Formats: sequence, C-alpha cells, structure tokens
Amino acid sequence: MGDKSYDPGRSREEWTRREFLKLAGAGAAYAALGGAGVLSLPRSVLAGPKVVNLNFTVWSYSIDTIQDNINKFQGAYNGAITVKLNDVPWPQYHETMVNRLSNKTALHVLYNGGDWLPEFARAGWVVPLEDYLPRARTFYAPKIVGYALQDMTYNGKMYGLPYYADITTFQYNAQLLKDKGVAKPPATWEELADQAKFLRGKGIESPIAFEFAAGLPTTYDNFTAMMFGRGGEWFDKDLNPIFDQPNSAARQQLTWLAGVVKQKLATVLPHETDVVKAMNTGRHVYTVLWNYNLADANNKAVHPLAGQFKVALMPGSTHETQGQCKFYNLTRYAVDQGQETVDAALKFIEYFGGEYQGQYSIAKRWAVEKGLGFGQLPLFEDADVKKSFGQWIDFDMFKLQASKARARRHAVWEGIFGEFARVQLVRAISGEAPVDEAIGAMAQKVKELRAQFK
Amino acid sequence: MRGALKMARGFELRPDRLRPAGWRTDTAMAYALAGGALAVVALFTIYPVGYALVGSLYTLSPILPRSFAGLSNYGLIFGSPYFGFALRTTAVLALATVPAVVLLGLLVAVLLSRPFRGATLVKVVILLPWTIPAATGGVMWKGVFADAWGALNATLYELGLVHNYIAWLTTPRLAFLATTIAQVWAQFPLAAVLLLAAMQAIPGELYEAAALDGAGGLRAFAAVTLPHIQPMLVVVTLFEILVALTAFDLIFALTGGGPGTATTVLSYFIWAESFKMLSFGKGLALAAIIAGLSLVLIAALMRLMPREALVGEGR
Repeated sequence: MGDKSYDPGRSREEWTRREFLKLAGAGAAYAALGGAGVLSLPRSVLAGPKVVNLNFTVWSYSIDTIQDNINKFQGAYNGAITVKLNDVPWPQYHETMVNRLSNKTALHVLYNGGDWLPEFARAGWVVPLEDYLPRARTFYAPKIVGYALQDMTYNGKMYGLPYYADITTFQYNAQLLKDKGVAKPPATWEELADQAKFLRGKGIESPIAFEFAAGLPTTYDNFTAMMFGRGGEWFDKDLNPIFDQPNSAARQQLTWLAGVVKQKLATVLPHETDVVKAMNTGRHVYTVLWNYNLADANNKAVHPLAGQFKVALMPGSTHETQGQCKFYNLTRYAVDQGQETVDAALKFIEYFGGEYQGQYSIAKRWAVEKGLGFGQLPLFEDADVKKSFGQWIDFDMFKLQASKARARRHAVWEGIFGEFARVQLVRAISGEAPVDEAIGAMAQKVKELRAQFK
Repeated sequence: MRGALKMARGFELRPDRLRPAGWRTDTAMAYALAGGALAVVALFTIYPVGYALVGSLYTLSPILPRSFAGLSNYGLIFGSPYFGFALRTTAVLALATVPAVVLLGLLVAVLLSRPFRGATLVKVVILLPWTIPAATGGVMWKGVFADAWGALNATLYELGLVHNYIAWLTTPRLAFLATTIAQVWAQFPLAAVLLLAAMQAIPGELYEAAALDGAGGLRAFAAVTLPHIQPMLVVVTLFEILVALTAFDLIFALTGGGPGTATTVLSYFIWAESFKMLSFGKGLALAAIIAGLSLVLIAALMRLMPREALVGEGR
C-alpha cells in the first residue's frame, strides 16, 4: 500500500482531495459560527450608517460644476446621502424625461421648467415641494422674484427651488455702434431695422444675429421675449390663443423677423454659442439672447471683442421681456420610496436651491462663475454677485430689465406646443412658409391639443 | 441507411399517393423544423407589425389615457399638410440621391476594376464612408457645412471666394443640398463595392472576344459589362430607393429636419410625431403608411422591369 502522505508524483504545494475537504469544512464551520455571531448583534449595529442614494437628472450644461456641487453636498452630509448625476442633451430633454418618467425610471430630483411643469404635474410625475417642505412656501417664496415663482407654480402650489432664473435681453456692441455714428440703441423693432439698414451702408452687411433653430427649445423663448417687448402674449388667461389675432404682437414680430432675414439684415444661427462667437467677429451689432450669454461675450479671456457688449431694454412698446426659472423638482418616484428618501431629496434640493448655513451658495456660485441669473431676491443685493455681474453688465440696467420681465402663461400641453411652434417659427423666419401659414398652423395645433387635453 | 432511404422516400411527392409513407411522423418533423424559424419570424416581424397596426388605431401617448381612435390617426395624417411636405421631400431626396449613388458607384467600380498599384488600399478607403455610422457621418458633415464655423465656409473665405459665410444649414434649399451630398457620400461606397463584385465575376474571355471583334473600351462596357451587371444594378437601385425612403439618422444629426421642415423626410416625421409630439399612435399610423407605400413602390418597380434585368441576360 505504501505511505499515502507522500506522493513523489506531486509537488509539496499541491493538495490532496482529503486536505482540501478538511480545510473547506473548517472554513465553512468558522463562517457559520461567525455568521451566527453577527446575526445575534443588535440590528442598529448590524446596519451600520444608513446611506440614501439619489438619482439627479439635468440637461447637459456645466456638468463638471454640477458634479463638484454634488461632491460638496455629499461631503456636507458626511456621505450619508450619495447622488448619481445623469445628464440629457438640452434639445432632447423634454421627450427624454417624458419617456423616463412615464416608465417609472428611478429619478428622485430633476431639473424642470415652467413650460413642462403643468404636463409633468398633471401626469403625477412630480410633486409640489411645499407639500413636503412647508417652509418652501412660508420662508422661500417671499424671497423669490415674481417670474421665477410663477414658473415654479402650478395650480397654486410651489413645486421647487430655483436652479437659475434668467431673463432674455437685447444685447448690442456699444463700441461698434458708436464707431459707426449711431448715438443710442434702438427703442423699437422698427427703429432697429432702420439702424440695421444704416449700418449696412457703413459696411456691416448683416448687423443683426439671431439664434433660431427648429430643434432648439430656446427658439420659442427668444421669440416670446421679442413678442413680450411689444406687450404680446401667446394665450389669454383661459389659455385661448391670442397670437393668431389679425394684428397680434406675435404676428407683427414674426412678420418683422421674416422681413429682416429676407433682406439679409439679420443672420440666423443655430445656437447661442454660435451667436456669441459671431458677435465677436465684429460683423454683427445686435442680438437677443438669454442674458447669461453676455457674460460669455464679455469674457476677455475668451473673446476678442469682450467688453464692448451692453444690454438695452428689449425693443418694443412695453420693453417687457421673458423671465423664466429652471428649478429642482422632487419626483413622485422619490416620494414612493419612503420618508428617508424624501428627507434626503429635500436636503439636496434645499442645499442646491435654497439656503445652507445662511447662504444661497450654489445659486450664487452659478451667478458668479457662469453669469447665470437667479431667482433668489437676496442675491440681487449680494456684494459678490454685484461685483461679478458688474464686470460684464450694467447691473442697474439688468435690474431694470428684470423688473419688466414676466413668465409665459403655461398650458398643460405647452411642452408639445413649444416643440411644434418652434418649427413653425423657423419655417416663417427662414422664408420656407408665409407668416400667415405658420401662425395658422400653430393655431390649428392649439385647437387639436385643447381637444385632446380637455 | 435504410431508415434514411425510407425517410427520403417518405418526402417524395407522388401523385398516386395522397399520404406518403410515415406521413404523421414526417409532418410532425416538418412542423417542428419549420416551427422554430416561424417563431423567430413571428416574434421579430409579425408581432411588431401587428402591434404597430393595432397601435395605430389608438391614442397612444405617455401623457394621455389610452383610448380607441379608430382611423382618426390616419385621418389626421392625410389631413395634415406636413405629411405632404414630408412625402414630397422624401421623393425629391430619393430622386436626387438614387441616380447619383448608382452612377457614382458605377464610375468608381469601373475605375477600381482595373488593376493598379495600391488598388486594395483605395478600395478600403472608398468603403470607409459606408462603414461610418450614419449619425456620425451627419455630425462630420455638420462640421463641413456649419454656417459660422464649418470647414467649407472657412475654405471659401480663405480662398477669397466669399466675404460672408454662406448659411448652408439655415437656408432651406442649401440645407437640402447639403443633405443630398451627405447622403450620396454615405451610400455610394456600398453601390461601388457591389457593382465591382459583379464586374469581377464577368469572365475575362468575353472582353478578349470583344477586343478581337474590334470593340473599344466604351463598346466593351456597353456590350459586355452592362448586360452582366444588370441584375446587380437593379438590386442596388432598389436598395438605394429603400434607403432614401427610410433615411433618418444622418438627417437627424445634420439638419434635425430643418430649417423648419425643409429636410423633414417621412422617417424623421415619424420620429417627430412620436417623440416630439408624444403621439405614438400617429407615429405608428405613419409607419404603417410608409411601409405600405414602400411595398407598393417596390412591387411596381419589380413589375415594370423586364425579367432579363432581374435575372441577367442569357441566364
């Protein structure tokens, strides 16, 4: 039989089956004893520190800054709340979110806007913030600028705290205007066309640059702001269309736009960054953009003509403009996850859009670093914000234009209408369709949508 | 061996026997064998088509309750001027791109069919546009045609040919031209490769015989090459018509269907109705209409073409 403990055919490192079984048995017994010991511990000790995980969805803008803010938030709460950031391209945000929310994707907090709020709220995908954080109404609402509060409100309920709130402004190259002998910026759209013709005679072939593209939600915003300058509106208080009336501000403005584009007094570009770059070539004098773009245009580290651009009141009879607010919104999904998740999400929303240790630190950061507008009234008096804004805008002019800003009236179907309207606006502006046809198509769409959503 | 022979005999069609030997077993076997394939076809073709057809009769939207709509989705589509625009744009795109793709593909195939140094490398390079995903191609062409920062405007400006950039993508006609160019660029390589393969299958003796008969290059092309590649030409043409009818991703990336609706083809229209207007019922109805149109068009073309064109002369 011989000695079974020694086998010349195997090395000393190799195990026999018996050795392996012995060791495995001992390991299993040890693990079982250990497991029993662990199970006998109190549940609180067993669970360790509870971590709540949140999913936060945004559109793709300054992702690095958002992530840095998230890191700071997680640090402030010692890792008890973790936040996973998801971003969606801005042009596809609406339809992407509709599909995710309708399919009950795990989203706890998301960026929302006044134009989509009625749709999301009616579908039950998002919930009013004030129902879960009563001080949203009592403490924060009085400190929020009117158009921002309006954009965050649906059926009398406040749904969020501002990510940013901005106005659309009329921006112009003051240096170029002065050099060409024009004393002051235009006060009306008709005066703008006259100045543009004058400047063409002075060698500037296309003095106006506008941002319009069928695929861009901002198209609808830009047009709305221009129409507001004439005192117009899309809908009356009962959400009946008024833009299709014979001499409506919308019809006047669209006719004006199609005219200046046809005469090549205005150039149409597909994105705000294109417009800012084009303005910095010195080939264009005027534009209409969300105000934060002026911070970019006047950034001396980036653009050659920085410092030459100023804001004037929106041309038109009332000089009104559009103000809007994008905000942090709590989802129904988060609520369904239970109180711990809701508490964590509320902490997150308040950290990002409200006060944390007496400071609107995140909103202020967006304002100071990126020039984003804000909805929190205390920031209008904040020394750091004033100083930062003062580097690229006349702050008093900014406040004056902000005082003339208002939000749009939002319908539950506005998300869909906005998609449709911007295509029609571009068709008319580019000369692809007559203005009356585009206005008629939009009115017909409203009729269809009202019938569907009655 | 005997079993195999028996089975083979069992499958023979004999007019004098209504029920072949081992009929029950063989039929079951036949059903079993075909069943798997049929199940796959049913799962991936019949079910989606059926689902689409049924869905097209409903109001389907993530923000509205589902309700039966009958044929109203079809009524809305046929009543909408945008269906007409999209149909016309698709037809014009097909008319502009298909002949260009086939002719360019043919020209390239002829050039590549002759041996020259570096032919393999050239073939690979020629095929590259086809291997690039259409959406990526769209983004690349956007880099070429972009109004303010595109390579084309920069080149024209540097050469002193323009003083201001040309609004390629924001002027309706120019945007359509840009789309056509990009579509031809993306499609001609496949046409060239298929036609080249057909050309290389032609026996060399035929060209030698043609040469002995005194035929020059053009004559040999007309008398030998064209008749032999005719079936492939038909296949390529039909394929390119289908590609033009279903073009989407390149257009989505390049123009987004705009400016306005200048480059909105039917496929883009389906996407916009479904995902922008959130009207999936209408999108499905549109898809059904387009599928029907494609079938009718292809059947008509097949019918109009002489049989020789489909099977090749003398084959």
